[in-house]
Amino acid sequence: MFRYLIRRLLAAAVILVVISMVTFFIFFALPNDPALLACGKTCSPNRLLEIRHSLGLDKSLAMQYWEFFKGLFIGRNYGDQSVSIHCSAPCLGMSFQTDTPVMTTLLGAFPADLSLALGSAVIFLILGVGLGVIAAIRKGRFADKFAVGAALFGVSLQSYFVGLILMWALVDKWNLLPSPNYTSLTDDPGQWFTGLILPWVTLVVLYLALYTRLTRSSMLEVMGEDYIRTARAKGLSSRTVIFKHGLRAAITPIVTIFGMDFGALIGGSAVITESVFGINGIGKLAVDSVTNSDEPVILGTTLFAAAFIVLANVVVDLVYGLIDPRVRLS
Amino acid sequence: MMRRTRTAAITATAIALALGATACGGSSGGSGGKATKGGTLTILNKADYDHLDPQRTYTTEGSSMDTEIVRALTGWDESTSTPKLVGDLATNTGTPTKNDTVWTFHLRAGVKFQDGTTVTSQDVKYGVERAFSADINGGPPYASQWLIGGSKYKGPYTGKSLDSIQTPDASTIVFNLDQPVADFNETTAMPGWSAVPKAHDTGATYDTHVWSDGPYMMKSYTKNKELVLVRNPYWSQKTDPLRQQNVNEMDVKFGMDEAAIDNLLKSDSGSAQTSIQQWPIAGSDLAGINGDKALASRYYKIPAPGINYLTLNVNRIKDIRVRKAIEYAIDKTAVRGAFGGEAYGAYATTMLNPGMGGYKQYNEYSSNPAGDVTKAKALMSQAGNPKLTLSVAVENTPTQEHAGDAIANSLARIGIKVNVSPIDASTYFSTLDNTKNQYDMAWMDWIADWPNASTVLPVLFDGRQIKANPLSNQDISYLNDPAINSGFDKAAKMTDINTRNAAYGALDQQILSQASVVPLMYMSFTELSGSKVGGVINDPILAEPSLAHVFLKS
Repeated sequence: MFRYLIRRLLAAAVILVVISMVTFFIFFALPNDPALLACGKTCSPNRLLEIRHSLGLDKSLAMQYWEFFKGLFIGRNYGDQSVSIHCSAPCLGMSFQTDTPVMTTLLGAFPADLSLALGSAVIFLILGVGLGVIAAIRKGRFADKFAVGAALFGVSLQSYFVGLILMWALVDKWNLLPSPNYTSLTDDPGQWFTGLILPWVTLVVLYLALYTRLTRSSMLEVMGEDYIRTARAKGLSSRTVIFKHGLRAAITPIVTIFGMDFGALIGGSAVITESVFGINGIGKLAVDSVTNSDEPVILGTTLFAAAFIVLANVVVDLVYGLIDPRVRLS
Repeated sequence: MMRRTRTAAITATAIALALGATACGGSSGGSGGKATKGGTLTILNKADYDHLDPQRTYTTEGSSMDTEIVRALTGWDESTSTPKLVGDLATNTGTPTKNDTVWTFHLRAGVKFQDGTTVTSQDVKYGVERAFSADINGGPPYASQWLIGGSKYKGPYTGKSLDSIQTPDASTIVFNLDQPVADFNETTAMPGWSAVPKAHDTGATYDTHVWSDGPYMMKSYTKNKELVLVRNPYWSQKTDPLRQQNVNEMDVKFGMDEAAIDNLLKSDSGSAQTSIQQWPIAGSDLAGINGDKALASRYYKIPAPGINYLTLNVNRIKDIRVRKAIEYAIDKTAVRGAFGGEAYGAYATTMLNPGMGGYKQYNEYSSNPAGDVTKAKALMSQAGNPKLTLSVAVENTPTQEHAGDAIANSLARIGIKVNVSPIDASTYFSTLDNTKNQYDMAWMDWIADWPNASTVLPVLFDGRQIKANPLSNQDISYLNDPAINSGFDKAAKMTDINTRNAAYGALDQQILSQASVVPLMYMSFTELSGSKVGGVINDPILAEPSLAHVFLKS
């Protein structure tokens, strides 16, 4: 088990290095010149050269990547004049746009995504699996049709549509909720909760269908297995059959999908929800950085999201061993 | 000033379709009433400022916010209907000598930084010098263009100072220019011409550490999240002719969706009553807000010193008769419809806006904004009815693509086929400003840096920049007429304001007679505030709601 973990983590590190290289070189294949954007409206060729130098863009690509890589472990200094800025290890670089270390920006945006992901995941997982189980054991009856239908309706809506409708109705029109906003949990737990209700609901509407349908089909398959029939024949209560024998086996594929969804959510995949509600998370940061040709932030957000997805997969594999006795890690 | 375009996001379109007109409570507002003290003003912006470092900001939003934090040498008194240039940090609007090449300013006594130290002329010199450093990038180019030795100077971080800025004593500053600049004191109203104390300069991170000598100072600033401004205890009303210090705090929140901001302000619910926006209302929300009488008292429609126009590349469309035919054929009513209709601004026939120094009213082409197809067809037949296919560059936003279609439909009426080329909005200007671009026509807009023809016509039509700045050429028409170029040189040297304005007015008409550009609309920008926000002034220089006198009604 320990050796397995080490091996998985090493592989994850290699994947991250490859992703960082691909992102780095793809960015430079784009026709954008960050120095020209920084230079402003009327830019003389001389001034442009100076700004390229100041941003470190006058060095070769390989050299630039090497400096980035080195910075991860030993930190970097920016600017060679009297007012230079230090970016301490692990340094993901310095934003061209805001002149702040990318790591600081990412860590600033991260709690918002974590709150968004955790809150919504708790709701859509409980509701989704619950509805899925009900739909499976009442297959073909009203409860099944209703659960599947409602979930499908939800997934067909786009988050900007759901988000703006909810906001208009609950905030602008009836004043039931304050305007959504991210407040840190440690600053004010009450505001943290009320400010996130709408973003959570929006995400739940989007994810619920997937988990309902996944649980339903997985449960249907498991409930048709011989050992379930045996369990029933033994005279076990239907509750024990459904939850202990059925759901425990059926949940494995759901955990896999959930691991990836959750990793992606933390990594900023809820970008539209973030921007509708003005939550400054990693997703919004990523989109803005592409618009602004802010290469260090593009690289940072990509790596950050990738790291969570890779990590979530490792965790999922470990969890398999715990929930499914048939799986043994070696 | 940085072009600021009104683009409708997907979300904005969605909400407009979904909701139509939303009902909202009546407001009892208006900008009038007596100023009261206290309270927190919330500012809701879809994005963060480009910069608040006074030497780096070059957008209308950033410059407007900087006005509350730093004081430039001169400023615009906008308490009356026509803005008037006055001394801000300086006692007056400066004294030009030696044929407008030497400008002297005396600083007001008693102006203090947020730590109580007195603002000196050395601080202003240091501030202006910062803009020459490559680390302090993004700002306007005027200091390096005009100050003697400016093209070689690399900023104060090298340990050197610029000799053409002299400080004979702690309250006097003298600028030595390499050419006569009659409106230099209008340049010095931009935020970069302000004081930065060397001890508090943090270089490239000064954006979040601006040291205040204005009524408000930074309490906290997290980029792309939130800026909190509080009262500067050392600011004194007696030394400041332009600003007031009414609210206790200004809390700027960044990153909310623009349609969500518009709807929140429209609803006037809860904290929205004490909120205002600095980015304009989204194009798709504008039509519903513009005509709403209930909103009129807190709706600010501000005429901008800006122009929305179509360039005709004279190197690619060589026959002037064809270019004139295009001038007659464009249906400006359809183009304006794409940009939001009447609320967007009036039809333009000149490149200079009414109200701008040098504006001359004339119309070289069709008197009907929908175009004059008969006249256009006649010009095309004079040109031998060439079979033409032309490209027009627009930003890849719904608004602009509709405008592109309107242009294509207009020119189809005279047998010109037009291919609309949408370009990614984030790289639009850098693509078009690059002289390698291959477009026959291009949509453009421009906001003047100060309300004078000198920041419009030479910037956009002096053809000598095509060679000098091949990557940031603003002459998208590629007009390079020696007579017009020397006209700019002559006008710049004129010291009598009336003669100079007349010269620019004539140049405007000369440029239009070359049919190198189709002026489309004079722009105006629109914002909303909550019903408890008072004292907002329409600032036609920056096209922003000025917060200089803002207060909250109790």
